Amino acid sequence: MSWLPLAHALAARQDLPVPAWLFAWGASIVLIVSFFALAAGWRKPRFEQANWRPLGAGISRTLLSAPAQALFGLVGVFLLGVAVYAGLRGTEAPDRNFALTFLLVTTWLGFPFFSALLGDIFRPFNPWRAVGRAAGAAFTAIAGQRPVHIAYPERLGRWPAAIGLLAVVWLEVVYGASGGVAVGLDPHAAGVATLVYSAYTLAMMALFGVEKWCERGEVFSVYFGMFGRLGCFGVNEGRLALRRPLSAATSWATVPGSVAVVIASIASTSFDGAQEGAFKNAMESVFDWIADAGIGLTTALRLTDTIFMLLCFAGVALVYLLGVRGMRTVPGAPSFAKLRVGFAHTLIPIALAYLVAHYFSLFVFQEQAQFTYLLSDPLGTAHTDLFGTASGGIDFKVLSANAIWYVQVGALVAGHVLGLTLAHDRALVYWPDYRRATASQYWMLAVMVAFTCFGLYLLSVSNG
Amino acid sequence: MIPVAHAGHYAIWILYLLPVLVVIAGVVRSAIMARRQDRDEDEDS
Repeated sequence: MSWLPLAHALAARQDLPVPAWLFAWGASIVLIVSFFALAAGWRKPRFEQANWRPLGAGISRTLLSAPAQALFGLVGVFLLGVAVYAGLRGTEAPDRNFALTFLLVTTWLGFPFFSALLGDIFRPFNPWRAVGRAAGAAFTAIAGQRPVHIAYPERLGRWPAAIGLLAVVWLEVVYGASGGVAVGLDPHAAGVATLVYSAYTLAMMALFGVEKWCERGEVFSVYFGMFGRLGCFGVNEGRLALRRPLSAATSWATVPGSVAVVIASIASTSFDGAQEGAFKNAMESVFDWIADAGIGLTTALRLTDTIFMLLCFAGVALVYLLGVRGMRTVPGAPSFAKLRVGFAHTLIPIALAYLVAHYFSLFVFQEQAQFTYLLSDPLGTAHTDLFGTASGGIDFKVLSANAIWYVQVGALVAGHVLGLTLAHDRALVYWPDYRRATASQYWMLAVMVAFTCFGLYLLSVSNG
Repeated sequence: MIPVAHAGHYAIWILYLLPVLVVIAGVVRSAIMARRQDRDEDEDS
């Protein structure tokens, strides 16, 4: 079976009590009510201060100690090594090979989900950071001086990560599954891509420094770290501490290119959800047109998907920028550039909501495979049973189609209400008069309702 | 009537667009009213 793990969420027809479109109306009403509740009862910014509360000194010292950090890094390097080895040496059946599920489901979806709750949990496990730091320490020990790096061009900001994010998604959903047909991303290709990315990342770390590249250009650090800003744990003054959830997001987008990262996240999920549903007919027309021009079928498929993925990016960016443009019309508004950056973090909960809505069922199903037969037989050769779970399987009855739909709707509504709350809070910073702040947020309300209805439309068409 | 049935199937997106249009209409209306109110206050002063 050549089913690709990162095709979008598994779809099944639901038996809903009301038509699916009524959920979009209901979600819009929830957003409108939330908006007026915020206007009435939220008149001072609350998320600008993190309200740090340090955890116990013992646990903080233990988890942040050099041996613990080295151990976490080693775990990351080991798992990456297993994934690459399985990709290169294991079976070519995508669903039986550890590599694809580990890289594209467990890691790619698991870290955003858990980071959004806990904080940036990828950082200690980041295998490239661990290797880079170890290499830096070895260099210092041998050469007697710290490695010298060139200055990172600050104008580039997080643009390398934004472009890298689109490239990773392109590899997964375009190169690997053009038009819903598996044409390229087999486990071997995933293994090779991981090696190429590792070489590129380590070279950039050598050039600009490990921490600088992790903050700006390393796709996974930036992407998972973005969701980690929603979480409630962080490091403050060298100590692990609790902070007000969402508060760390308020300072995330000040680096150039951050807006592009969060828009790329929403756009790529939207594209993956739409390619076999909402965009299907349009994509088939464009594909026919390109194929008729004499281009090979595989190239035509990938070109079509690439065009629609970029259109999704442009569409999501346009909706957001229209909302920002609307805010500019409110008296006392800061510059367009300041508003564009200042409200970008409000899209992070939406990016998370889209991820949960589109992939959570896939995550639940595939993690059963991950922790049973893929763990015991990572190469998928049927000759290994490391933990005695190689005969395990996926129980698809663990989630009903209706349960999936309700989680999808709940995730979208909750994500957009959180986005609206962050936006209202930021508006109070720019417009201390709460009436002006509320007036500015009518536009963001329109943006949030648009994203909610679009998300539900994509899901309903995919499921239908 | 098959084409009509298909049209209905594909036109379902209009039902998802409707809440967005309602909110946008409300936003535009409130923006116009706010501008008018600001203008009136300026003239009064």
